Amino acid sequence: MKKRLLSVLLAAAMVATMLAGCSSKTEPEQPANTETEAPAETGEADAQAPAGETKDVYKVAFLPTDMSATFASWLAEELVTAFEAYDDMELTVMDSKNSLETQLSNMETCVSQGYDYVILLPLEPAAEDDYVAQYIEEGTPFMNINLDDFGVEKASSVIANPYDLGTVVAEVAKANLPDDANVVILLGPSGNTDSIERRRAYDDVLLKDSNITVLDEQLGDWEKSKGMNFMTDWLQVHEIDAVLSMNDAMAIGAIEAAKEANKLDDIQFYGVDGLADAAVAIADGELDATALQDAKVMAEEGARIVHEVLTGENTEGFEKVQIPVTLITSDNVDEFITRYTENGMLSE
Amino acid sequence: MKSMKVDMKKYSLILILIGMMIVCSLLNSSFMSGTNLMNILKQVSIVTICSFAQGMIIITGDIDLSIGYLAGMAGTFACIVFVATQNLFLAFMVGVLIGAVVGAINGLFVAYFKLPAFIVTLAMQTVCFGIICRYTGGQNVYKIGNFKALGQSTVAGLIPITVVFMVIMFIITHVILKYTKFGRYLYAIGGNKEAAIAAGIQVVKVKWSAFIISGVFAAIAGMVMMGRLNAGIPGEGQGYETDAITATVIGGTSFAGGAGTAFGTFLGSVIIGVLNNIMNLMGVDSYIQMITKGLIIIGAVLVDSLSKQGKTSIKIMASSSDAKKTK
Repeated sequence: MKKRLLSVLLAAAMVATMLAGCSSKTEPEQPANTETEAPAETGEADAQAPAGETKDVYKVAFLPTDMSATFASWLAEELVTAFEAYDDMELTVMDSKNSLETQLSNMETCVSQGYDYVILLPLEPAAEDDYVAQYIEEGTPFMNINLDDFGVEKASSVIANPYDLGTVVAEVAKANLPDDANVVILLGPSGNTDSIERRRAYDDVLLKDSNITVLDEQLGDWEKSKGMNFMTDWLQVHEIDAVLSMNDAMAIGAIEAAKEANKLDDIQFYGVDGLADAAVAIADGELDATALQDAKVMAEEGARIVHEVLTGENTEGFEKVQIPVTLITSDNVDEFITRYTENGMLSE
Repeated sequence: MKSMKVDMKKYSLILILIGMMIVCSLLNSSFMSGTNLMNILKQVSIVTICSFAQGMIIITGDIDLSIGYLAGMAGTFACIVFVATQNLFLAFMVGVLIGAVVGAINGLFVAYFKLPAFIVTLAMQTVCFGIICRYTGGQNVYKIGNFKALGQSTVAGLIPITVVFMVIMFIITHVILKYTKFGRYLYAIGGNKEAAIAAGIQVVKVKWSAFIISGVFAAIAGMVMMGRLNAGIPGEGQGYETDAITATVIGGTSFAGGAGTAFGTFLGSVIIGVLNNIMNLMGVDSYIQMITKGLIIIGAVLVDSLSKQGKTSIKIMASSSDAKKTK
């Protein structure tokens, strides 16, 4: 069974490499609907320089958590775009399908297939640290992108701090809510680092030194339908001033429930993620604030670091950066509506 | 004799539900309000439609694990069609067609090529999810406009459309199972396949049709779901197939096939809905909710099974004494 799985993975990896190779050779201006001018700012200068000195083309693998998740697929798309600016690097994407086991075997595959660099969007950083440290020791550099527990000293890191994402939204909530407000909280899956850190920021910024009452707090597993169902039930028994959701999908689910109960105008909604659905909800005056971890900036930074490490420009062999988080409210939402419409995440 | 047994099961479930509702109304004063009861029906309606589909397949002794993902795929595609054409009828029909096609493919492999349904429909999960994610690039479909009428409007300003869909699907399932030859064939195949073949039932055709119906039901559930969510979100269907199995089995459908009713499935689904609802009203901790839900589900099935065994043993004794008399 294991063997068969591995061979399927290998075959998939081969096909993916072939496709990636083909598309970059034959149709360079094809990258669907992402902004092609993007990488120019960071990439162009390095792009021509050291190609061919040590190796013709560096093979880089990106192992996302789950390509069916909005953020992961957006990040993958931005990485592909960012890597197109470098003609001495070639990116292959290997999906982990939201399974840690798959991600671990993909890591194994990458190393044994002689990839020069592995970019990991980890499912469970703490569980993967030992493997990553081991592979780095053996000579394959790794980067944790978007999520990192900083458990491996020599792994590169490009993240938007989940605590900061919570903080910027919590500050808006603090400014908008009365000191004796009643709130409900929607959390991500149990044990999820992003959810825990964002929740901790809410504690520190908003809840700790105030008289705000938390009426209830439940695991909505990031799902819109669960946010909606919890809110429907809560509205039966509570007078709610605000919904603090650790992601946008659950917040927007709660908004749908509030609409049905005709209570939308009395309640404030706060999310995190800042993708297309949230931008629309903010533009419509339904969602009050969200924070974005910008996959485009993340991808550009990631590609830059990978390139510097591979060409030896970075002598340490790793670099850890945190990209700034962006608060989105009605003040600046238009900018994001335009951007998401341009990159195809939003139609019309 | 079979219909007698099924009736007994039905009553024990109703008693369990009534008992639960009495306890719930004592626990929380908001529980018995009209709005709250309607909310419960609204919350269970989508999974109930999936359960009717699952129920029909389980009655034949098979299983359909593709329901959740198929719902996600068909619902999201219908959203896409609607956004492109603004024609709700067309979008709905495309969704139904997708459901029928996927159901037919399931049926082809399960009924015609006689592959295990568990494997075929499990594989179909990833095919469905892959197709829709490939098509949308992993992004959700927003701004679906009036498509949300399928999940958020009310009929006569009172009854939520999701509940109306559930009732319609209930009636269809009930009529199919109880009043059609096709329905009786489903029980016959699940009860004893060899006997069904011997009796001249075209097993392949009947099973194949059952999977097509299941696919169509799943697609309708998916479209209602996306309407309710006011977005096309492929991943939201995940897990509905197992929730549907739970509801069906609590509802007294035999996992071995050959027994089960639409009404029982509906009750099973409502029991889970009541349980989720009361725990949210009371603000029960998430982890305690998981434990309680699991234990109460086992409890409900146990009570149901014990009451059924009681009745059955009486029946058997009665029939054996009949046999002695005739000797």
